[in-house]
Amino acid sequence: MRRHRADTVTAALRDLDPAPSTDLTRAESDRADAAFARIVATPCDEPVPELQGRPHRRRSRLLVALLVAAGLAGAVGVVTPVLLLGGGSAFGSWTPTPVPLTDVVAARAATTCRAALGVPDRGERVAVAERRGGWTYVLLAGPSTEAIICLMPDDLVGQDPTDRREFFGTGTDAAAPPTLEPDRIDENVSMQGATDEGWFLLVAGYVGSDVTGVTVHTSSGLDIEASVSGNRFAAWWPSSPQSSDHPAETWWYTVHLADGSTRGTT
Amino acid sequence: MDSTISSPREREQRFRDVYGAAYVDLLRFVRRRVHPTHAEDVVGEVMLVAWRRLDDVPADLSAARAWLFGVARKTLQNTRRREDRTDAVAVRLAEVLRGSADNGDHPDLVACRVDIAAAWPLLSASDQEAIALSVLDGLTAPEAAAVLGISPTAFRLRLSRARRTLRRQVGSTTVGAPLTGHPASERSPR
Repeated sequence: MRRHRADTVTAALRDLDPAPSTDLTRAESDRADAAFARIVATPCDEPVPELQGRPHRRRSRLLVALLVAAGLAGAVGVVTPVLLLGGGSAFGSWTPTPVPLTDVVAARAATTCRAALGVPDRGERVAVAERRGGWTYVLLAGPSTEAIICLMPDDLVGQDPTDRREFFGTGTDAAAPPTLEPDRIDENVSMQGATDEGWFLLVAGYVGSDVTGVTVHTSSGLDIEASVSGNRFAAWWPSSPQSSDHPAETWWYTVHLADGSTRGTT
Repeated sequence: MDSTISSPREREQRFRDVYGAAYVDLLRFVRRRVHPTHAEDVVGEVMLVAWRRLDDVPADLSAARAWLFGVARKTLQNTRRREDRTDAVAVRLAEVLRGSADNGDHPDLVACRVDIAAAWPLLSASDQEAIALSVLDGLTAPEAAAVLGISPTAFRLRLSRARRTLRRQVGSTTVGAPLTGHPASERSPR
């Protein structure tokens, strides 16, 4: 058994700091400046939801999605959600099973997605493209963008999104895909948003090489078949804003594997 | 509420001051607790809260930094995915490989780093959090207490217990294989 002096322990801990003191890189400074500009461009006269001490998944993205609506920048930065709010009938045509899009329709949806977000084509490919009822979803991924996600009504696909208020989009910068065991999944996006139609929750992430399907089970009682394409999965479903009548929704997964087995995970 | 800002220009300048003074420290705070690729996202969310609640941000920049850390901590709590989550937010340490270059450091310090890297994952998230707030985040007891929403006295007690636990774990840890400081709070494949 080794014993260490208290000051040695403190020094060793500081040596092991995973975020040691350093100046921002040029790229980090640019992103910080861009984030500042986006933030101060947002309205500041709306009430801010109080963060709760107890955790509920999906909260953070919801917060940004709600508040950065007016702060759309020209390019995808730290987080650049677009949110167009209104009232509606809560995705009455939504289906728990997705229909994959043809390559042609997926490409048109990607074009609409980029146009609505005002982001240039930086070589992203369509990683996931699906339709649930009258709603089209695309997830674009590329070397400089981990995910651009758009949800739009089918009749907006290929159209000029200007002045349309039924669209939702968000984006995040590039991140290295996780190293996954073949039977694992890694959810890296979970957020709540809204369009004119109503509120929804969406999740996305990566799947291991043996994963052939992912089912999302929600605390509201839905069983949703996620789209699985390549090393990605994605799903979304109608939801409601959190309130005393509608506590934070949770969800968990059943992972379907190539050998026919399944495994549950949270 | 420490102050109320009247004009939009004053408001933006006030936010610019807070942003400039705290951004790097906040980024480091978050990077200790999440995968580095997510840190800037979280900082953006925290700063957005600060912008919207600017009248609640303490006027003193050191206190404002602690306030931002508290918002970040709640944000991280809210994004945690494990169903068995607790209130504390675990902290990761940098990786250390046994036998790696020690840059001429004293052997005791090198050995201590290896021992702590081995012992750290054995600590509870609450213990990790208390030690990190004091040693890594550099907060005073009142500031750390504000982050956790507890009294300074309660924080000092928590820190004392955490340090005692760390010493006990360091003393009992047997180092037998290449060690890495496992990031206790990272999202993990499921």
